Amino acid sequence: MGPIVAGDTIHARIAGLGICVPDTVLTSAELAGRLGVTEEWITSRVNIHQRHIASGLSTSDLGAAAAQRAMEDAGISPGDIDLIIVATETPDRLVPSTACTIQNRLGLVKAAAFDLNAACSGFVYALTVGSQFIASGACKNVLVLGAEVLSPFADWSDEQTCILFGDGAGAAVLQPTGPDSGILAWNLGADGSGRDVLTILAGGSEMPITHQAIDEKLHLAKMNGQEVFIFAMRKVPAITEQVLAAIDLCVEDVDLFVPHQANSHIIEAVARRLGLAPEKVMMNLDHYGNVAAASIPLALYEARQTGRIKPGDLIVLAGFGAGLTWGAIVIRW
Amino acid sequence: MSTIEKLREVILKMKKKNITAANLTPEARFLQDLSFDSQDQTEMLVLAEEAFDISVDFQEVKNMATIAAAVEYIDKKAGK
Repeated sequence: MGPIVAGDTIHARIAGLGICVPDTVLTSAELAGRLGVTEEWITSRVNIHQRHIASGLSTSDLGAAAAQRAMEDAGISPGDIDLIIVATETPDRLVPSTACTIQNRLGLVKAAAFDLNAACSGFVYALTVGSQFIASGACKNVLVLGAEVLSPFADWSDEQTCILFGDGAGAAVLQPTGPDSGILAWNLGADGSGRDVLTILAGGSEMPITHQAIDEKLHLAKMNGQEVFIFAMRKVPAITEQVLAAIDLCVEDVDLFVPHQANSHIIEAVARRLGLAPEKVMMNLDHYGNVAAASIPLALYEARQTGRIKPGDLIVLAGFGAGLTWGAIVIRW
Repeated sequence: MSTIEKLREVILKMKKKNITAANLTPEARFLQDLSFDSQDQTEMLVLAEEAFDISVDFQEVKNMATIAAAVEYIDKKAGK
């Protein structure tokens, strides 16, 4: 699609944020014991020390709690929400959408509701979609979620992938603001030729669940880690520079870069390639792991709570993941 | 600038601990001498793509062991 600059009248701003992670924590020390590796083996590869595990909770359980907190943060009521978009690759059910379940649970009586699957780019995609409804004047309050329960889809015997994943949810309330702040520009894209790089093969129409599929673990996530790394290194710096250039800004203008929390090596390599100092890069995967579409709102929330985002700051959110998909969005806070 | 000099610049940009231009000799082995893991090697080659304007086939470089081998591969890709 290439970079798109927001219109010059109404922008969408993030007026509230909320998160929810399950109480159950799985440390890398405990996981290492199960896998027969050392804790250092895990932490040296991905710098993840613990992750939260849903243990029976669903994506809507976590998403509803995060959304409730985001509405409280924005000072609005459930009846104010016009639209809810849930970015997830792990919905409660194939049908209906997880957004509908949350809409009912929270009493979002006037809200339209749908899910969006752009994998780990999902929150950036959903923010972009939600912002269109704000900028057009169609909506005053849009709830955007990134919510995932990845743990049932991890192969807990595969040490290359299971060490990465965690569960959680983050939510943002979008509201209108003037043209000098909020979401300034975005840059979304996809390359479906990479659909096998990171996938769950069984469970959809192409390969319905069978006993054989389960025996062969085809209902669990498969990932070519090197391909993801190459893709992220090639794509994320480029789309970030493009979207900034579209509004006559550059990497030096960025106050905080909030990338998808894939693994620390990818984030650090992307940041080096962009020439970003470590203090301008948000990383919190050490305590959450890779939470797919939820990782960016979890990181954004923590950045705000710890004072790393101030009014007027220039923030870039950058997602990348299965599809392949990618997206970068520029926000004047 | 020679290929090895440019490759040294690429590797130094990665800011890995204990790596200086002096220990990036042709004989230096990625795994044993430079403590590169597979992600480090991938990062180096993606950065080399930009620096040398080449496209790396990652299947071809699976067993690339030394700086000299990397230089040879880059020169081949760059048509030198």
